[in-house]
Amino acid sequence: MNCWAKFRFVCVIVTTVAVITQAEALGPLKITFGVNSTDSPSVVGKKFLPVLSGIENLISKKYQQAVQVRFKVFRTYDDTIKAVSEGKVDFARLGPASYIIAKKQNPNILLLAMGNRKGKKSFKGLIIVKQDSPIKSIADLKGKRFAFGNKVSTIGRYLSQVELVKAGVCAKNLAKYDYLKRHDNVFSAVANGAFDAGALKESTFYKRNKKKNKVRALHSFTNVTKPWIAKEGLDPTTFKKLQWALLNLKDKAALKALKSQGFFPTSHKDYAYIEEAMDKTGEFDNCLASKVE
Amino acid sequence: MFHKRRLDLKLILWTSLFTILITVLYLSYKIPLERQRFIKQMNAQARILTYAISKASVGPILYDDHPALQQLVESLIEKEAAVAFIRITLADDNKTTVVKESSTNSQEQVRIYKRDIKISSDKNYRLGEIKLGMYTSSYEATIEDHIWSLVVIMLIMLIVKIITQVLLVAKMVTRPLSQLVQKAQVLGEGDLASPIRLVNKDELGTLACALDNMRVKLSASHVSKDYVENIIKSLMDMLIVFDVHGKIRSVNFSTSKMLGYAEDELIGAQLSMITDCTDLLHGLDEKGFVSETEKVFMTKSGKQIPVALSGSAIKGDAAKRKRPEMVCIARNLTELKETQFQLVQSAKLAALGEMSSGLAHEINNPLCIIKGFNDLIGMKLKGHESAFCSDLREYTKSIHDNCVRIIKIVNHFREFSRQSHSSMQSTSINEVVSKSLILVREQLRLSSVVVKQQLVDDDIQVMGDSIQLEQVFINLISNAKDAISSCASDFVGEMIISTHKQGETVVIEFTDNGAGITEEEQHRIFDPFYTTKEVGRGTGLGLSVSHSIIKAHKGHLRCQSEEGKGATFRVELPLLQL
Repeated sequence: MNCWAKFRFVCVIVTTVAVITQAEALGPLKITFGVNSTDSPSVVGKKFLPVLSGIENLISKKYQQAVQVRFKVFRTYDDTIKAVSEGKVDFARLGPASYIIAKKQNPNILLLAMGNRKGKKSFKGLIIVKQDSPIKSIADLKGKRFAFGNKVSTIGRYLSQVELVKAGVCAKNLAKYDYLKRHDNVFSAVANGAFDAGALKESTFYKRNKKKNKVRALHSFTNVTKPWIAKEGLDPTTFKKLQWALLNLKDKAALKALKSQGFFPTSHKDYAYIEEAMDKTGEFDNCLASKVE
Repeated sequence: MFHKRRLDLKLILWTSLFTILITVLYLSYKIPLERQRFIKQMNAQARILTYAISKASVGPILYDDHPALQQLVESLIEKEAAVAFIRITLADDNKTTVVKESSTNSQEQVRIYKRDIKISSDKNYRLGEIKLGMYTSSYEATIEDHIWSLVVIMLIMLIVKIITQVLLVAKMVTRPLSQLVQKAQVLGEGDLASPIRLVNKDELGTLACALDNMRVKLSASHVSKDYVENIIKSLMDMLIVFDVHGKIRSVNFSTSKMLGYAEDELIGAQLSMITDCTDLLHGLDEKGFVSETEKVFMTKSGKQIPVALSGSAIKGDAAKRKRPEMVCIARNLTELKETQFQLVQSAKLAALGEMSSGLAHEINNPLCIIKGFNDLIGMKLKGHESAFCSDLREYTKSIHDNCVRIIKIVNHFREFSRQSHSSMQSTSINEVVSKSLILVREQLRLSSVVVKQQLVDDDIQVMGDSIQLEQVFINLISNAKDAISSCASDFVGEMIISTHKQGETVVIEFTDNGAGITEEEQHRIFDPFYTTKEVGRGTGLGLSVSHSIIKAHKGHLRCQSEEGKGATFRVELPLLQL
């Protein structure tokens, strides 16, 4: 081994020792991440764990600190919202509507970032009908059966109901409506004719309708990407690290698992119109006299 | 029984040992395999269980739902009796044991399995670890049961195999072989008549056919032992088997009978006891055979028997350590020699008979001259009455009478010897008696035998050949004379010749007071060549020929005698009715 090679080897050894020493000096960063289970926990885990692992790597590399992110899944949106607002998790990913609810419960929760869906902060929600349905517009939904998603879902309830109201359809105009909790439940219900129409996210529509083309999109509307939120009182340094990590996450595998292209910085303004839509819930519900359960 | 059934026992024993060996080897190979298989089964079950637990644990772990985990574990332990405990440990720094559950029975041996609880993506995100303990006892018991089942099955198969083999071997091998052995033994004892057959169509059947073919060929080229024994037994000649040292090994019945020894006296004795065998042994040893050698055998009583002896050597068998032996056949030549002598004598007599007419002629000629000149002398003396001439006349008369007598005898002898064809005609018995006496009168006088004639007055006639009858009477008179002569020298012999009628039969009796004839000899006296006289003094044909002549005359010739009291020979002929 010549002198130059020896020198390089010594430098690597010294750097490694320094990193380990510094890392040991900082102590490991242990944080908890929470998310609700829109699918089975393992599927949710497959989706988020790569991102969390990416965050661990980024933070540990940049800040020379070992990071351990514990992953928690909550069965319902409410549990997730409650966990965030009560600080049971350090950071979480919520839906837009869930963020608004959590914000209302605890105004001190902080936004870390929002999702980047194909370079945009928004994506589509859809109102679908059966492929051969005679329904041509939202207005035709009167007297029909409509399937909503989760009661706290942005697309599955709030935005879709805003669209219905805009078209002059409210609860009492529908022959029947119900909250089926999950986007894929909505798809199935419409596809097999249990409901005449339903509201779900665009990705579920494309995923489930790929081969058989059982349903078609009647109407689309815009939704914002989901926010990543930090709990109230999270250590500012940790907040910064987390935020930096999210905004600088380039791990393609991790982002692919999340079906995202990365993260954007965000503020509450990005979710203002969601808040407005949620406030308009009563407009749809005021038609409750005609709801058939 | 055991000896007879050794083959099937051997077959069964060896095949059973082989089967047991194969079974042991198979079980040695199979049992560990089975054990491995059960362990694999247990491992597979454990894998399935841990996988199920792992999958089912993801949600509760992510949900932090410990009660759900608890319930999951409890339900599994309830369902799976083989599960001893389940422990789920989270992958946090503290290695928090979320659930730990044990079954009640903690004494049995437990096999521990581990599996990570993870979410698999591009990377494996480990959420925790499952540790599953499973009781091995149930599997051990199952393995043991399975092994015992294998052993029992193998034992049952072995027993069935043995039973089947016993039956099949007995039927297909042992029984046919026993039959073949019996047939071979019968064949070995010399019975070539019994066919050798088996119903088998296999190699044993082929063997039976081969043996039977051998039997057929043997019977064609050899004789059976019984046949040979019968031949040897019925041999009139002596058969002796002896070894190279002259020790007798075997004799036949004729040998012991002729030599007067019992069979066991001869067997083991030396041949030199009965004959000089030096040259015999030498000849057999050198050439291997002896042909038509005249020897003399000594009987037990010391009598010598001339024999014609032939022999050959029997080769030994080196494989059986059997030394060469000699077999000889000896023919008793006694009767043959006697017959030869009698034939010679008869030939002599025949020659003599041939010469008789010539002889008679040669005697008659000078005799006639003598008689003629005697008659001339007589004629010359006629008219001369002197005492001298008277004496001369007396001498010439005596010469004349004796010449006449000689001429009669010669003529009679010539006629007697010339007569070959019987000439049956009316014949006076008294006349035949008289003529017979003429020929033998001088012999009787020389033997001092007094002859008395008691002839019947009547001139009894028979139909017969006078010459032949004369031959008979001469023979009987001659025999009587010989019988008397054999007595003491001062004995006064007497012969009575009588003739008489007895109904339709003419009886001529010749009675003497000689030595007599024993009862045993009376049975044989009429046999050809039988004689009690010394050699050269009798041919043994006289009475035989006489008997034949009388028989030809439709008569009978009988003898009545008692030893030491003389004999009477009685001739009976049919009376000729005129």
